[in-house]
Amino acid sequence: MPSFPTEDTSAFLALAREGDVAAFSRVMEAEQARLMAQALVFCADPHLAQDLVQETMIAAWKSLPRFDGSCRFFTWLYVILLRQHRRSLGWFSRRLPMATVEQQAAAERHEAQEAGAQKNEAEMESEVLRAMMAALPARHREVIRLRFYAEASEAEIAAALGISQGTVKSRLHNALDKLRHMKEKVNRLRCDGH
Amino acid sequence: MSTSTPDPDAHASLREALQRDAARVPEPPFDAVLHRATMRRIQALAEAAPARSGSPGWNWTASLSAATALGVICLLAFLWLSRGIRRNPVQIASFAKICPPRATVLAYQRAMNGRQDAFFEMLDRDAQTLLPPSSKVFSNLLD
Repeated sequence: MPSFPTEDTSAFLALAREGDVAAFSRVMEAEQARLMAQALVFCADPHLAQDLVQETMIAAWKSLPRFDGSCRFFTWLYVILLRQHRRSLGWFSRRLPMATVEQQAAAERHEAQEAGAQKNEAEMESEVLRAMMAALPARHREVIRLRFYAEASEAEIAAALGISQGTVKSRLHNALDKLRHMKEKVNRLRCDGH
Repeated sequence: MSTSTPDPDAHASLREALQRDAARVPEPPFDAVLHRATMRRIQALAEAAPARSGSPGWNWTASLSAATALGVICLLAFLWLSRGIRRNPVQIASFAKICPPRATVLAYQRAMNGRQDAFFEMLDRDAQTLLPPSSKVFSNLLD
């Protein structure tokens, strides 16, 4: 779970905001592994994840004077990571069509039947969830990732994205609704296969 | 956008699934090589920043644009005001021509009911505009 900034972290952040590169390095040392874990979720490829983390750290350094402490530093970093990832994808950052998710579910079913072995239930759940998230509109995907993967509160998400808490609630609700419908559809497809 | 009221129970299983998935994300060990490489790039950026601040950057461009816009607005305002000033005397004069200042009938009635000298004073004053010396009435009398 992302930690709250300790007094030390706050002091280092204050120094970093004044241009102290060493202080920024100390802050990033604490956050890098968590950031890399999330980058690996987005990219799957470790080299792409490394590039993404590097670009995120550089963008964070450039935007550091704008960090006002209204949310946790990791939440703020996570928003930069999400946006850098979207930028790196360019045109491909558009959401996946629902058909892709359905195809993925069908492919998994086929794979499980072919292998004749029970695929780890948890792995399958993760794969389907992540494919479903890729089918969400970017603004919905953003709040889901911030809420569940960065473990940010609604107030923090609102502060980090610069939107109202009501908008966060509404986006979260709509995103979960869409995910639920997708999951129902995927489950139906799975049941049809068995 | 949907206006349906949030029902937390409807999403409970999905929330749990997302939390489970988030907990399953493995945290890799700290990558010192990546960290050093990134910090070198940041150091280079930090060193380049003070040198760049002396040259005209985007702040200067923005200020220059704002100043130009302000100048144009001021010029337009000046032109508009000066046009108004030039037009106003004409308007006032023409208005005065159409409606010369004189007392109303009600004022005359009140003056009649009150003091007579006030009434004559009003008559003297308004006679200049109602019957100026150049009036035809006087030229006929002189002839």
